[in-house]
Amino acid sequence: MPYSERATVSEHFDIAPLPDGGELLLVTTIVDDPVYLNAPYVVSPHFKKEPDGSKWDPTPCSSRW
Amino acid sequence: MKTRRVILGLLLVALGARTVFTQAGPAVLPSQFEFAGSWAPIGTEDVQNDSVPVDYLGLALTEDARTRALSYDESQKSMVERQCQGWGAAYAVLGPFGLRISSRSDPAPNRVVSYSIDAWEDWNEMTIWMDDRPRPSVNALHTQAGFTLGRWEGGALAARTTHIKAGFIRKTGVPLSDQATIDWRFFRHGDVLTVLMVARDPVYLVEPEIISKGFRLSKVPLDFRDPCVPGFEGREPGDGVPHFAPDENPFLDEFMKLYNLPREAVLGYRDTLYPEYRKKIKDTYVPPPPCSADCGVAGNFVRRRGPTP
Repeated sequence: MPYSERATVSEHFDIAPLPDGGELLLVTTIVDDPVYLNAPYVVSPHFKKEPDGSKWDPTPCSSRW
Repeated sequence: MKTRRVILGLLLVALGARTVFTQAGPAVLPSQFEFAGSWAPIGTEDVQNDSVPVDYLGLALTEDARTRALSYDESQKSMVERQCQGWGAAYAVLGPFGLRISSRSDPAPNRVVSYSIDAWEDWNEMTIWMDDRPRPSVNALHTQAGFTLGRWEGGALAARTTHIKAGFIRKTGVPLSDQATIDWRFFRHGDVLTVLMVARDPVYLVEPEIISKGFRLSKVPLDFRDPCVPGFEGREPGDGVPHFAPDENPFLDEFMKLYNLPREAVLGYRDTLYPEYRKKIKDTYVPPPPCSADCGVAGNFVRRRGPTP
């Protein structure tokens, strides 16, 4: 599904405490595109906060035939 | 004399202001937002996870929950006495409908006493009490909607629901007990209302079930349907309750076979909730072959299940 150069993306970040401790990050993303969308595209995934960054282990993208 | 006129004038201004203020309803403070209105569902998010009978992905279930879920037969909803049973509070985000919200105010202190999320065809009205009233006794009546207290917190409306009837956390029969607690957060960003639901259940959930879903402010009031009216759907009153023996559920391995998914992932084991599980199975997982015919939007699902008889 395409989006055009006239599209705008609005992101809203909210923090919510978990009842038993910890926190959630809620990201509400709203995509408006007058070219390809008749109505805004909205998603609102949530993320659970890790105690530290020890699990953060991204690897570079590689390509192959 | 002049002083009297000034006092009388001030009194009239004050009374006038009071009248206008009452007509407009309680003021929305800077840390709050206008919650009342019609909020339409947004089709770009699907959080229902009810496409196949046995799909417990993303849930952390107790053994009791797994057993009960596998014994559930959706034909139960065809029974006359269960057609209008309705769904519990969690259905606010699990259901397909929008949220039509109204507020009730106490004119004397001019504050909101409660918000109500209106009923839908198979869902009862849910009231969010904003007046700090005490929560009922643990032995008080449990209802489908439960008892909900709310408060403004950090720019969001936070609420907690207790006293629900035993029901479901997924429409395919995954149970939620009457001891469950549901925490809500409502955030507003322009015309978008984001709802966060955190359900905890000491009986059926090992970890909370968390769902976030967006709604969009509707310029016209949502058109809600008529109340549920039961009708004959093939099962006579007094017939047995449709169910499966848990280990003989005919759909037990359908989802697993469709996508070659591990049994523990489909059946809602705790370890499968987190990204570490992907690393655990990445060397052993074999994706199903690409769909080659009759794929449709559901891909392998349509191809393997075949046409509906």
